[in-house]
Amino acid sequence: MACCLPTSLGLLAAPLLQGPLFEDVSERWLPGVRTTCGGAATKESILEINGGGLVVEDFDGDGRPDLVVVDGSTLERAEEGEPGFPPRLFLGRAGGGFEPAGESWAMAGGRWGMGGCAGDVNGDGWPDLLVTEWGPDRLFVNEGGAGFVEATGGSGLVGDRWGTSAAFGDFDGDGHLDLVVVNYLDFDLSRSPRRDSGCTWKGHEVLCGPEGSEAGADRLYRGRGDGTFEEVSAAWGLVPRRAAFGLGVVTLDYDLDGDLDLYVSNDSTPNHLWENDGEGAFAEVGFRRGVGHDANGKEQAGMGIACGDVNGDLRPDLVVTNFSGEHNAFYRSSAGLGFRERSHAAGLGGPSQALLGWGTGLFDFDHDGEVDLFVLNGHVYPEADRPGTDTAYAQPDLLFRGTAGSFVPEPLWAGEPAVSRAGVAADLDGDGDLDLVSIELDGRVRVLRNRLSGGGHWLRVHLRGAGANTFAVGARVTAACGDRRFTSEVRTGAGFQVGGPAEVHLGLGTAERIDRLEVRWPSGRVQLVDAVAVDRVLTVGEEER
Amino acid sequence: MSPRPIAGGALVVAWAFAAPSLFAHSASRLGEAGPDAVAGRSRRAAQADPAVAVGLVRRPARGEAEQAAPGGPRASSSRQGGGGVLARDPSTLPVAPAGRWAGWTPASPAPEELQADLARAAVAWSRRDAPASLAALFAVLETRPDYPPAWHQCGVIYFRLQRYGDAIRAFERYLGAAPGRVGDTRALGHGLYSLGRYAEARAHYERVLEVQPDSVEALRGLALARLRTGAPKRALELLERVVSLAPDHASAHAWIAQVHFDAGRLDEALAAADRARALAPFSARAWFLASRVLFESGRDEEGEAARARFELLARAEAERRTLEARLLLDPARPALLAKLVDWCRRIGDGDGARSALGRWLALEPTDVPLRILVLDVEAALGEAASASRAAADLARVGAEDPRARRRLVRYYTRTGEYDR
Repeated sequence: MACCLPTSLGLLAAPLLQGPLFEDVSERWLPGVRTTCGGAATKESILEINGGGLVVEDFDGDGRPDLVVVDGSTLERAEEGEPGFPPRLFLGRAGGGFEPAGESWAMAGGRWGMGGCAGDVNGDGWPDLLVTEWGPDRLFVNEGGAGFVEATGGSGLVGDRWGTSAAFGDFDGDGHLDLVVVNYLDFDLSRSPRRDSGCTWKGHEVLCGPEGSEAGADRLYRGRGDGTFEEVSAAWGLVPRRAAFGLGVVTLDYDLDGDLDLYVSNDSTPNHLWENDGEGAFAEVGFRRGVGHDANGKEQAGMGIACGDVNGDLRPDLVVTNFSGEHNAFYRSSAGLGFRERSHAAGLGGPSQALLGWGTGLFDFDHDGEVDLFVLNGHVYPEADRPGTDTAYAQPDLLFRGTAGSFVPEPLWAGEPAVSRAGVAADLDGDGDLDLVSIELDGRVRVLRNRLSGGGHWLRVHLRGAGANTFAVGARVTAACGDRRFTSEVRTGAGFQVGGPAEVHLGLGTAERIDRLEVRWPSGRVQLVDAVAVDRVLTVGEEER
Repeated sequence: MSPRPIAGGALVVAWAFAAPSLFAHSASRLGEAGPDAVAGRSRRAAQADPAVAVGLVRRPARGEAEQAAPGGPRASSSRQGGGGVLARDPSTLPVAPAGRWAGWTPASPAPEELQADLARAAVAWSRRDAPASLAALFAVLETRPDYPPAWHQCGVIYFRLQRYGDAIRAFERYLGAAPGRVGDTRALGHGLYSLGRYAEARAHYERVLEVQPDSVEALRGLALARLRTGAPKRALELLERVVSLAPDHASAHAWIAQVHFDAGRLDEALAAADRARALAPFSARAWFLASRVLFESGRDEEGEAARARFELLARAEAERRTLEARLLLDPARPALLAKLVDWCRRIGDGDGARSALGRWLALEPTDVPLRILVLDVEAALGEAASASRAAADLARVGAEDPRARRRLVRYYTRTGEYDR
């Protein structure tokens, strides 16, 4: 039974690499792909700062992850009523890299694309695509791996505000995927303040932030399983005391009661933790659980969210990236359901204080058995390069290596600082470790290959649900290796304006075999798989008993 | 700042190294807790703090001020008047030869050629006009590079502007010119802390404590730096030393509550949070901590009540922070001060409302509606003597104004003085 060595000294399992763990392979793997969010060097409107989005999923069913790049627009196009730049699908190649998908996958431009996620909304076994926009959110149905067909009309999606992040999950336990779309502002470009409206920051005139604008209420949709939805935000209780400027979302089962809860990061307003009663009734418990504010009771400028089990207690912990002058907040779970903000004790506070974080994720990138954290950084104000700001517009992206529950920062990749935004992790080249794709504001889509070679062990798990939730979104997978447990959940929304593949990746350190793999399916069934070999992709189908 | 008598009628200005208001603010920023440290800090502790007494500035008389600030206060206080200075990197200011200020002490009179600019800086800062004050200080530093009081005050102003890197550079230049004056530079530790440079902050606080072992703010800063660097037990010891020196230090009590809460000691946390709430009833943080402890203790009803109070206070603090930040750059804006008064009134913070009204009155001393508002506030606060003074001021300013008369009739009717 005790097959593995203790991995508390997991660093032993990590090979020594010269330089950062990730290398920029954009020129080889995704040459010349850029996004636009305003496009100009100066930023006049808040609309120009979020950047675009990314969705990684295997849309054509060839076993390789594909990539959707959600693109934005320019103020001029928006003012002229012209559509934004269309989302683009790039199909994964063997060994890494992408190529533009054919015409059957082409999507029209919306108004101004932001982010998205993938999920099988009609139970046909193929992942469909949801794109968030400043403007109506849009749904693209996957036609059996052969192409997308826009199905927004008649889908029941009524979002027409400023959608940022989204996630699918079966919130009411009926077997069908539901959907949450997080909204930022009720935004009217013609009436919104511009850079010359008198907003200042550290003595410099800058574009105006969200304060003073009306927050866009988040939307919750009940999926009918046929690709259509019913808006149920109020009926299911997703109405906060105070509307907030939503930017990021993840699904998680924070209280381990078997249903999916929601965590939403909000800009300049408290973050929300929506506790689900299992039948689709939500209560906002962020304050009570200690994840609404920082430890001082300050509401921060929440951007991205990372979710993972950092301290090995099998409960999800949370990291929220924030504005410069704030720190990235690490909320550590506790058995009493309340979280404690442990950013500083964990080594995340000080190194993030001068940075403005966006895309983030908690994964074991170096397979040492400890969860690591990537954080993509970049300021919203080009004026950050002026004197006295204590920060800069272009900033380094960071990898915080996990070491026994705390983190040690290092450069994520070798290169000049950039104005980064969204980012998503996935194994793009099929070598077992997780690579990254990131958005540079008004710049390239950067592909970062994980240089890990050998070292610790890993397992990637694909789940196939018995019902309409074909990818088992919301399932929890726990691997037992001797006295260690590694756990993660299948989720589609991956923090800030990104969707990740519906799978579980576990870094196992020195564990050479998994004694027992436990799958807790969204249906509530618990399935055990004994003696699982490591360093492979394991597909588990839900047993109907 | 407070006045210092001068000899022989010459305009001699020494700068304030640690005027209580400035350092109280620094302390509150350090705690990221808003003004609780200000409200809760004991006056006795502030007076006993050696740094407070180091150097004081004489506020020039009105005629001197106008002479020192050509164009008058309004003109120099606008962003247009001083905005350019914020675009300048202070490290580009000239450097004095090593040892140039070796003999300088806070008691040293300012060189004659600096008097006008120092006075201008002092007048501007008395209005909390950061750009104008910095512009004058830069003029001083151009004339006499590294003149220590000028760098020190630059550090204080940059800290208030939350330009921590510039504050650090200013204090480092101050220490470079006056290396024996470490005790004046607790705010250098605050700046390092605010940038997340906790190990450096800790080292600096320890330097300050070598020369001022009972410095409450340095002890508190060291405690927080230790907390941030993973030594909560030591942090608690230091915070307890703070409250032994300054029993009414609300922020220290709040941090004690935080350390206990983090460690799961809910009873101790609640006791400390309650103490902080009592000392600083308008501090959102104390209510936040109390609410969290109450929820975790299963006392949901009390937790909800504390949360409701926290949310109101937090909103007020956020609004006040925003307004204060804007006022630092653009102090001659009655509309901002009006909002500040409004927020103070909403949460029942009479002292805060009075303070903001005082600043507003300095801008518009003969404005009748403003004088009416002052009377409204004083009457609502229920302090008869203050209200009576406000009524007398209104009568003086608005003798011919029917709005003033109507308000005074109501006031005197209510107090029973109308017949008189």
